[in-house]
Amino acid sequence: MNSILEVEDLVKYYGKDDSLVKAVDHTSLSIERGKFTAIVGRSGSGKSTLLHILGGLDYPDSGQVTLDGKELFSLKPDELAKLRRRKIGFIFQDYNLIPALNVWENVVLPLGLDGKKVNKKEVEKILDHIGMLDKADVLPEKLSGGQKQRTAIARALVTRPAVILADEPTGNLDSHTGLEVMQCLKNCVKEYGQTLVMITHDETVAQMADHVVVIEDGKVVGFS
Amino acid sequence: MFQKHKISCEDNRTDEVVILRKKLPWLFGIIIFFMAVMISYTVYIESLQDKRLNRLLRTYPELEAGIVDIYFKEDSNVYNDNKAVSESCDDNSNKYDIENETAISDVKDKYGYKGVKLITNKAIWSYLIGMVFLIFFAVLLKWKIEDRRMIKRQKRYDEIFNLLCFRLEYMKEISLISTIESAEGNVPVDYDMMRKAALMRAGTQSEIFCGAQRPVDVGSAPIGVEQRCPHGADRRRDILTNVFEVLKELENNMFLLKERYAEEENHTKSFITDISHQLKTPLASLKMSHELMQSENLTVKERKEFMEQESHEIEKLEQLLQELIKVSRLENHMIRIEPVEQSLKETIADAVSMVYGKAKGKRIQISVDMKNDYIVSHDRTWTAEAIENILDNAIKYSPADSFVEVRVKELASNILIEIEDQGIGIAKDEYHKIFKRFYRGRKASVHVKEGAGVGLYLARMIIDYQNGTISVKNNMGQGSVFQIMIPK
Repeated sequence: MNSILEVEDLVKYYGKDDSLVKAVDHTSLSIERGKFTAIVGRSGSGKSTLLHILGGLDYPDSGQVTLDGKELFSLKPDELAKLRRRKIGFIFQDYNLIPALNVWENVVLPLGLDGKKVNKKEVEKILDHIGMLDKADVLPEKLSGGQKQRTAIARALVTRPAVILADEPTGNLDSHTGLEVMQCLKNCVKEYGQTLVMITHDETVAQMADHVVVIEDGKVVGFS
Repeated sequence: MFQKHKISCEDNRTDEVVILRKKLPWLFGIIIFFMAVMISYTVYIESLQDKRLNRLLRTYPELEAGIVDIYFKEDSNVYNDNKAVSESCDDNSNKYDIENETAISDVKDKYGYKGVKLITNKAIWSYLIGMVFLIFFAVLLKWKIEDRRMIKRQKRYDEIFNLLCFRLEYMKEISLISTIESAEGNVPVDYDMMRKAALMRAGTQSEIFCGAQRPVDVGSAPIGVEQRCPHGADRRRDILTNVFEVLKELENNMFLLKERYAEEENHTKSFITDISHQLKTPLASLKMSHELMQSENLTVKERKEFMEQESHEIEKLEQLLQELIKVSRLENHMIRIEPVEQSLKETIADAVSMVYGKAKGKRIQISVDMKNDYIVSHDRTWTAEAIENILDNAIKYSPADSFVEVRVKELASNILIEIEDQGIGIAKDEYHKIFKRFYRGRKASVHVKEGAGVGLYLARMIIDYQNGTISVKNNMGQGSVFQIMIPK
């Protein structure tokens, strides 16, 4: 199996003694390149924490995450930020769009932060694919939940990262919009050969995955 | 339509230094020249004065006492008068010479005068400054020559890097297209178009990687985004990193390709194994009943029963074979799914009419709730086939006198077809398994004996190929809801 993300014995505890919460408890995992992996589990089972650590947004207490051969936590913060910018795309449950920028600007922001030139045609193609091209100059406050999430997806795709991490992207959407968002995401990822790791509660979403990882109390209890 | 503000690159640091370096040598060159002129002038004047002094002493030895004054006065009138006098005394000048020699040397000794004074205050300063500037000038000259060479080298490197980037991007694009193709399988390969697309993408991408010039288009970014316009060593380092990244991506794509080909081979092998398994069971049953029929201790009634059972099994075999042929044709790309813009309503009507007979047999009512017709790009026969498979399942696993509802709804970028039945339903943990080849749900195999487990597999393949999705929804326990999404 060609894995793009390797997790070795990850540990992340919060608090201590009585209030010790084992968010991630000696978890080891392997994400296959080019496939859609879904992480399922009950609320509070440590899925979000795991995803944040996978993307280098949080530091574990011990253990290592290897992305494409590079150990994330042996890098300096600058290099880690660079790696994150170029190789990882994030989609959050609450969209996290910048309210002062319109759709187009939100989507090209990662490119600008990286000092890269914006290829207008490419971005237009992505926007068209997710169906937001005609709303390119609209501010986020005027968009519906589904549209905001789709903008967030476009933003995650624009740098063509190797891995896309999504934290319950359909959580705040109704079932039909969620289905659409999922389909759009899956198609985009398939076309560019990217890897998709998604946390979800929704079985409808999980059934579209190539692999399903079940997490309970910070441990991996199932893998298919 | 889009707001755009140009954020120009202000990091002109490198350029400035180069320009300054170019101008300084000239500046100092001029100063040096000036200094040189001044030095030579000083030296000349001193030597002039020296000659004058000697002549004066020779002509007027008695001036010995006031020699310093005259020397420092430099009164040209005195010189001219003396000249007139000295000329008139020409005959006598030789006589005085020997005497005057000693007089002159006496004066020289007395006043410590030893010829042209090269070391006066003025001169020292000129020499010192001149030397400093000379050294400076030499160093700057060296820098200037080096600079010229470096700029030329830089230009050459840039050219090479740009070309390399472009070639790599091109190779990457080709490999990417190949991986997509290998996944789709059914796409007709237009190599020309593929090459053109790859060239275009390679051109734009390599610009992004290697040609980051000022200005950088980002749209308005009022939060003070730092723009980096790489120059010189920075830029080369950046380009190198990008080249490595592109190489890595290439490697990944190649690997993906290899994997996909291996997968396909395995797929075919397992398919053949699966078929043989599936065929074994009904054949075994047929064989057994045939053998049993050979025995002579059977009543007519028993014989009849066996024969009915046999014809039943043969029917099942036929059905199974039909399904298998369809699957194999589709999998081995012998049949092309050709999406065409056409009416979705008609396709659904096709599907419904195909299962209508079976539905009527169980008195199951099929209703279609579709407000408008939608013209969507899809393949009529195969999409109808996919919908028919789902409807078929719905009917097969539902009790008699129940309802099957087909709802069509328009979403933002898809058309959603929901098929709801009141049948036995599907367990949650089987949601993603039911679409696998030859898989039969636990409840399904209990309730209905027939079924190859191929219907949903086919349906998913057909819909997936057209960039749609099929999924099943939990219907609160009673029956199942299948959701087919077809892009608009």
